[in-house]
Amino acid sequence: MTKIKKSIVQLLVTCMVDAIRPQVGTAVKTILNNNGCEVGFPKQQTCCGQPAFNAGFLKQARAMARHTIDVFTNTSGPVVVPSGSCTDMIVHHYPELLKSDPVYSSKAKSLSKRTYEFTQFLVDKLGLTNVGAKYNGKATYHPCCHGLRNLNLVEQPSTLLDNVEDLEQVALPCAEECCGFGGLFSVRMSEISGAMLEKKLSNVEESGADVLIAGDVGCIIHMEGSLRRKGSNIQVKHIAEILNGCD
Amino acid sequence: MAATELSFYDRISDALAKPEGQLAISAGAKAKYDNRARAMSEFPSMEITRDRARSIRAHTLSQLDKFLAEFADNVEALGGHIFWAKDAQECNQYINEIARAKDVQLVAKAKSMLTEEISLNQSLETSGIDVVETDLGEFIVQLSGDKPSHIIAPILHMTREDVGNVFNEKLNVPFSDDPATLNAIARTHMREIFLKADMGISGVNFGVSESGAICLVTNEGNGRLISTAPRIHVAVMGMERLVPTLGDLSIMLQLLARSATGQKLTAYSSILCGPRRKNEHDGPEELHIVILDNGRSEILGSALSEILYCIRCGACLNACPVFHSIGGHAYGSVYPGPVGSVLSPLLFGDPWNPLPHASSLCGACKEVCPVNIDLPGLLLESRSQQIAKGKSPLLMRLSQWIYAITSCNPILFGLALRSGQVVSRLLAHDGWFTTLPGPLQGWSVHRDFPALAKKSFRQLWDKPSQD
Amino acid sequence: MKRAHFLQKVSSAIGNRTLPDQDETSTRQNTPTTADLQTLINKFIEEANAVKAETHLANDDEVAFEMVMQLLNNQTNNKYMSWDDNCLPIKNLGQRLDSVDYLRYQSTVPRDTTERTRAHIKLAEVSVGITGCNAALADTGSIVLESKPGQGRLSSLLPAIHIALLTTDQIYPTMESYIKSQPESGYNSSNLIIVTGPSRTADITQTLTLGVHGPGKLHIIIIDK
Ligand code: SF4
Repeated sequence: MTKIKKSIVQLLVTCMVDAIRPQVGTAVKTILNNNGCEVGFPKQQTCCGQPAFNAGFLKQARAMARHTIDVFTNTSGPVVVPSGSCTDMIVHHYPELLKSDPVYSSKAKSLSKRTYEFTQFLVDKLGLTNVGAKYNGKATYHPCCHGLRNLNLVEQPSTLLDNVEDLEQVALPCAEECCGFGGLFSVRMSEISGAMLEKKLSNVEESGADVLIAGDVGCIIHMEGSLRRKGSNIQVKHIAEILNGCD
Repeated sequence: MAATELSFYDRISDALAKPEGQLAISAGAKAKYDNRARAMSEFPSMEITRDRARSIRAHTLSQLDKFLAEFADNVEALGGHIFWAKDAQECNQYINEIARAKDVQLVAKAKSMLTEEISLNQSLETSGIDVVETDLGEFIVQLSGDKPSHIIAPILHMTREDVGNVFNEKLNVPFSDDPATLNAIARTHMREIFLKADMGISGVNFGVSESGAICLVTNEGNGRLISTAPRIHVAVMGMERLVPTLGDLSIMLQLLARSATGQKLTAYSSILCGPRRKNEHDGPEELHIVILDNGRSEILGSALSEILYCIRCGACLNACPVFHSIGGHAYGSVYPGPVGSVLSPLLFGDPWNPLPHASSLCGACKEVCPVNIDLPGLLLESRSQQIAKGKSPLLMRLSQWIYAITSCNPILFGLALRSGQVVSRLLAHDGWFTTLPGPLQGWSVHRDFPALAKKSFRQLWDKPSQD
Repeated sequence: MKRAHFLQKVSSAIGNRTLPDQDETSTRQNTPTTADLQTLINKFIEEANAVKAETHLANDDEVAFEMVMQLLNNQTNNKYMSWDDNCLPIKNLGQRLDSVDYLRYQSTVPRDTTERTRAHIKLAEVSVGITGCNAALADTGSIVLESKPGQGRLSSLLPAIHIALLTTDQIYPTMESYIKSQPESGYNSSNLIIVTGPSRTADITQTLTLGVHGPGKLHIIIIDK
């Protein structure tokens, strides 16, 4: 079933993973390597520009988009991103942002076409359903909004998680409700964001899970930061960390 | 609409400080959300119908001048009057003039957000005219001196005890919190108003340009009563509310009902073609339709024109987690929720500029909108327009530039990472910051912030052995 | 504001911008439903009951008349209002009710202001309104009424109980199919009313309550023709 065998893929690790949660990047790399992919990591990569874009700072967002495009235009193979919202940024917003840029509009389109979210790449491009992971825990999955609604990431993560050995999955009530992260929103409108977070976490508690799985590090640190504040024992994991598990 | 005394942020804190109100709101909105989801899933050709509805709206607006002219000609041929109002003042003045000329003492009103937008009630009341809201929810809002908190369910924020207290206090009836009892009291009270009112005032859900008809939908029947019993019916229509044909209307009515309340059709869809005709038994002697611009033509000419596709179903409010958390009042606008966050700054000006920022861009609104309006995209557009006009704090602009310059230069980016690591080592406890400085402190009110990893991914990449 | 000036502003606004999807006139159509009469009737009854209308099947005029009598007998007073006899599917309904001492209130409302209010107040005493139907829509359980000479609006609006007389040949599968076959209905009457169940509200804590301003009871007598 494997469509791309021993091919090279480029890792766009995202600034959050890079700075805060590098083990997610390592997990992604390991899983890709184990499944016949050679992984490249263009060192010039920084941030995709989403925080500027979402705040309405289009000039800045364009500058960062052009930078990211430059970094990856010189590489070959699909670009894999362990984040639904950064993927959405590149796939949907780059072409729109740069549509009247004579040089970058076509480059943006071609980067958009070769960029995939991590689970999307594993399932849709590599044709995987089971990455041979094992994880002992009672887990619930929060579908992060941009991945869910803009990339339709539903089947891919659930297929992969269903095949993790020893992983007990429990349903998350109101799973599709936003956790309240929203980038700068969580700072600028922190009260609203905090109220949304409270609701999300009370649903997580209700689920009875001891591990909360999500696909975006932004949402992960948002939820984890509050669970920690509350002294909760619930762990928050990126899906790549689970899929890389072999304990 | 007057700017409210409190700032948006104060209103948010206020709202969050009232847990019972918030509970009523989120439970009510959630129930409506579920009803919509069920009604839509039972709709055999939902996506096709949604596409058609969107293209009907797009088609109408792309030739709105033509359709408005056709509509007005048809209304006049049926014996109705058309008045073209540039803004709230022109509209209110016209209605006041009719009221004066025809000796109107009592007005019965059907629910209309547009008339709230232009504060028509206050304008008529200043001229000494009694105005009674006849929609049950709006009536309760009016009795209690409150404001509607939802465009479809005005008293979403009230518990049944709240309503019981209002009736007990204002109508002098024994306290009851039983909805059926409260409803019966309202029916009796309102009967007299309908029978005696000189003028009925309504909004317009849709105007049909091929026939000059206007359509009013109500579940209670008050829309029918106010357009039948009083001798004058005045309907105020936002200029974008047209559909070309009766067939188009039938699509809109089904989507509106399913999206708003989960019904297949609203109990009464009343399609009105001119005033009472010769040999008819009843109906108004005069029909006045006010076509109102009030800033809409500017919106039509802007990059936010898509918001005019809106059919005011309220589904985006019910889906919105921000609305669930803070309720309708916090928005300080007759149009709350995602649609209101786009519309309010356009209609009411700069004091409403924070609204488009009050969204995590989760996209739940877009998912439910019956005419597929790209609400997150419009919120983003609205934000970027504010930035382009320089309407953002200096500190924000400065930090966005620093962040962009850093991110466009891998060396600077690497340096920034390293300094972040140093700060983390010095100030974080156990891998976490419990307080953040300055403008970032909003985050740390509710949650800790993770320290940067000791080694960034790029450092690990170079020397994986240090993992 | 002058019409020309108003429209000028609108057209220059349109000129400024292209709206999303404006050229894309969707050609996709719902597939028309074809159903035999019995399926239509059953669907109509199912949907009407789902919105809390009460349906009654009558094999002929006589049975239908008996049903009307029975519904009227349940009332404490003998007053009713209705459409004119020639607009109702039961022959001479008014005359026959007259002869058994039911009192039909005159439902034409005077155009003069004070007289009008007086007439309204009198009509409010009536507890039952009887109308025919101009159509019914099976997929939503709705009945369609046109207001025109002989068919006043108030009969289906003021009384607490509305009895609607429908004949089986008036049932259409959907609103679209009805409009397609009766396009003039949108012009012909000053008020085309689509009634889907009795008057209702859920304003107070989402609790459904029937009979707010319109009739709280809707009886639909379906007469087989
Ligand atoms: S924007 Fe869409 S969902 Fe929101 S009220 Fe308007 S039509 Fe309904």
